[in-house]
Amino acid sequence: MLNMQSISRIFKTDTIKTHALRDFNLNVKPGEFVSVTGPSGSGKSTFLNVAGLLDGFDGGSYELDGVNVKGLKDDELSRLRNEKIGFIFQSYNLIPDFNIFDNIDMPLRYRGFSAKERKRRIENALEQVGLASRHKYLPSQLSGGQQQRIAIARALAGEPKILLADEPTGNLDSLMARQVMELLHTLNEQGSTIIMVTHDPDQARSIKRNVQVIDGQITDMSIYAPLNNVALNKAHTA
Amino acid sequence: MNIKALLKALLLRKFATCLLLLQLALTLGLVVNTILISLDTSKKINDPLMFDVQNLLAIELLPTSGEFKEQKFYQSITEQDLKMLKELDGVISTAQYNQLPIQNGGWNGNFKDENTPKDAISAKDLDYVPIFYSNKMGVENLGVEIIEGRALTKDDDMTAAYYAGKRDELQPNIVITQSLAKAVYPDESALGKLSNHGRIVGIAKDFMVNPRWQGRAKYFAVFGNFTFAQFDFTQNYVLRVEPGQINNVKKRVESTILAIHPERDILDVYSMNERHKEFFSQETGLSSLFTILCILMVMVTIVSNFAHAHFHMSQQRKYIGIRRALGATKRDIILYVFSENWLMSLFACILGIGTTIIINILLSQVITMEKPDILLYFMAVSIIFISGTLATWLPAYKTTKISPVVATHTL
Amino acid sequence: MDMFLYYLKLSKHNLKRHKLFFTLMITTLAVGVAVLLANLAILRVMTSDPIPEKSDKIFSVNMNAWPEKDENISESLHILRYRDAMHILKSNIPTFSIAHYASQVYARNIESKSLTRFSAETRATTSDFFELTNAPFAFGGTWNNENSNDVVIGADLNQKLFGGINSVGKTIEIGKQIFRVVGVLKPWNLKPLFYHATERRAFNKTDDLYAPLETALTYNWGISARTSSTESFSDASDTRAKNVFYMQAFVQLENAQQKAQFQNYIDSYSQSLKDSGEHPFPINNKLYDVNQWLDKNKVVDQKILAFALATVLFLAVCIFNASSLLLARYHSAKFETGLRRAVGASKKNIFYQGAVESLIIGSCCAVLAIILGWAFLKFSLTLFPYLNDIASFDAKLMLLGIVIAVSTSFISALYPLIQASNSSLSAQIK
Repeated sequence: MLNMQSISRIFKTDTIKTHALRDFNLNVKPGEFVSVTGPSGSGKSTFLNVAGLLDGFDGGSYELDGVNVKGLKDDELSRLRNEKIGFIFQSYNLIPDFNIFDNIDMPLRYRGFSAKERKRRIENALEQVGLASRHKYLPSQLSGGQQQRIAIARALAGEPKILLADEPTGNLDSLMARQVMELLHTLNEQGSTIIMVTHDPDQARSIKRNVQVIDGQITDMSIYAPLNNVALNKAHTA
Repeated sequence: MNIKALLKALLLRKFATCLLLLQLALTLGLVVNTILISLDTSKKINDPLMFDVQNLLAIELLPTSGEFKEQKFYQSITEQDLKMLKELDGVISTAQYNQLPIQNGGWNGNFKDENTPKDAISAKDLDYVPIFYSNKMGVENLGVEIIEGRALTKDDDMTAAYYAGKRDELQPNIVITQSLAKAVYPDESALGKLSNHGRIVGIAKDFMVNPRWQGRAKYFAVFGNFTFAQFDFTQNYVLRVEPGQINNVKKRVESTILAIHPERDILDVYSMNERHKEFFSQETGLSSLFTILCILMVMVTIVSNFAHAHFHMSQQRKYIGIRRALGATKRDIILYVFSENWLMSLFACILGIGTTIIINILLSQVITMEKPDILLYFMAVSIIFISGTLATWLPAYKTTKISPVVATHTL
Repeated sequence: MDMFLYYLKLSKHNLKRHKLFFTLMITTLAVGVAVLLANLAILRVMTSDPIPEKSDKIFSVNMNAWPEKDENISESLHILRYRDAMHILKSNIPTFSIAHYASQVYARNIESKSLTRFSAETRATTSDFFELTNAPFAFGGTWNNENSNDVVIGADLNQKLFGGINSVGKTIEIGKQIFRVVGVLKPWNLKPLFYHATERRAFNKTDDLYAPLETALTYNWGISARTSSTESFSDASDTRAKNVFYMQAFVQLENAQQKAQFQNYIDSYSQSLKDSGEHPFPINNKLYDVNQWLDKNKVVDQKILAFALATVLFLAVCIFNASSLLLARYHSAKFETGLRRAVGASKKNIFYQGAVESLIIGSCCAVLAIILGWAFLKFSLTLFPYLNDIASFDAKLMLLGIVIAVSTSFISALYPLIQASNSSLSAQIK
């Protein structure tokens, strides 16, 4: 599904070059659930941005669902983003003055679906997250957990190939966080490929595959391997 | 006050800053030039008229019946008109004129001493001297004094001789204005001299004859005693009235004239004041239009100033929060916001010098414009500064509400 | 199409949500367009070609046959003497040639019971006048005899004298003389009045009465426009024999060849005057076609031009202002824009969304601009009453207003939109 090879991402200012990602390799197969952990500033967010085509990369190659994204124009990248990726943000990022229906509708509009098709998908997605019949509500009328589930519905409505979640439970209390995680697990069982960035080690442990990012590079951890200092001892050269 | 930091902050948003600067500079340029136009118009209107404008009522009329082709008939009607009008309550004196002062065009002729050699070059302004034909009251009726010699009398009336066909032999007695006398006879008295329009027997004090002409030509006039009575030539009556009586007399003029002979078309009845205002109506009109435009422009610029300040400050929320967290007072922040606006205004004023001059040049292509001066420029600059400060008030106030805790927010 | 409707929906939503912004935006832009529109309403007529079908074929004849050496008259004049005009009329080179002067008489329908005489702006001219100027006849035609008492009247006078009927054959009295109506014109709107563009008459109405030149002179119908002379004269008929310059002459010449021939004709005439010692100035006869003539006479009021300049500057300021406002707005909409991009909107989608919103703004702006423009025009006319007949606020102008409003809306949105759609994604959403 997702194949990154030797990806590097460099941020340049007038005087300083920061290697946010260097020689980054990751291969995610369809149906996998991958958690991404690592200390602050390690490059997790950068990785997710590159994976989600929100940002470009400087070196290496990235194949998403068989499509090589290098050199693609903005139009094509946008289409990929629209059709293949479902993004879930930490702060839900729903548009506050649109109702639930219109919020989920948004990505579908750029697909060119008919009104009937859009309605079908929206209702389907709401079913999947367990919030059917809340069409006319505004985000402010829902709890944090419900808003995140709506955000997930928005990501699902397009039937994407891969879901990218950036600390989806970061702004939720533990009860709601658990609900959201259950939802994600269920979706994965139903066949969705999910990559999730998280700070919570318990969450990471609950997910089949764990990947650690330190100083812009990846360290693959297999299932249930305890967090130890092995990765931290790796030598880093500029 | 860290000017450098302010500058850097402005430079970060080059486009928005440029837009505002251009707006301010253009507004400045237009304000200065509008003030110039208004001042110029004001000057023209307030040029002293020096005759009894306040108390003069003018009537323009034309006979409609063919009877008036008979000159003697026309003249007798004119005399009756003037006599009856003089008897109206509030009227001091009356006279008829072939033309009135304060007009465009008119009955003009060249004026020179009769003994001037044929090939002598005369001054250009002596080629178009207004010739007024009235009765013996002509000059006095306008409220103008004779300062040398005498006024015209009944004996100076050339009407009969003119219509008897003796026109080319005529050497009528005339009265001319001071400036005209000085122009043609600079080193001696004009009294008694023979001009191409007649013998000068009196010199009248200068009064405003032609406001649009330049220099001394404004006051040129020749007066002759002659009742010009041509069927298709508009006749002008002027009534000198007691102070405050203009409206009363105005009401009764038409009926009085028509009672003497109904087949007349009273084209217009108005006071000399109205005539003066009407004369400059285009200048005042243009001045008004420009002023309104300026006000609109300043208002639009205020909107821009507001948007700019508001936008810039909302962008800098975090930085302002940091400053407050580090100890800046609300006053410091307000000063910061205003300083940014004042810096913009300052730059605009420098740019504004250029736009003012360019606009002045462009306008001079189509209308006469004075050149802008420093004082005027500073006046306009202060308008820009004041309007900018007013516009920035609300955003500045809002920034004081930014609490220091903003510094701790992540993004 | 679907996307267009979606963008419309989003624009409507935004309009409701950000009322203050949109009000400011629409109002400040509309004011700029309105003032420009009011100005254009006046300028359109002032700069128009009154007779486009043959404005390049009709010429005003200017000569400098002033018989006295005078430093102050060196340019050729449009006013001619009777003898000069007659010579011009004699030539068979032009297709049509006319001489005319302006006068004013009082006319009365002989059969009318009322004794009221109506004032008539009069044109004493030659019979070719109507063909040269393409004057539209409602009834009858021009006169055949230049010494007859036949006259042509305009629609307004016809209404006043005869109630608007076909009055061909009816008689009127002017200054105790009887005249016969041989032609009645349709309402004739000629702006600018190219055949009498001098002495600020370019926007006067067309004349009420047209009479043969010779007849008018014989009956001493006074001259009511610029007259300059080197000798005194008593009345109109006297001017036939004297150096009184007041007549205007216009000719219709079909091509460059005819023009050259005619130029030659009048130059030879001037030469003959020179030979007999009556033409002190060097020969400088000019032929100005209609538009050149209107230009020369500065028919376009310079004051209106000055104001037009100011309104263009004002519109620029309004556009800059609109641009600033939009920049501010797109900045505050960064979150939503970023989100849309994240879920798959391309830069083009964002741009088109902004373009549609710009269209909405432009349309609202157009409506407001037309209303304000009309109001501003009415106000300007109270300051300049003489423009009442010149300004015209018709459908064409409103269409122009819509075009200007929508395009200025786009222009002001261009840079901000490009900025908004090109900004980097990842920074905007977290």
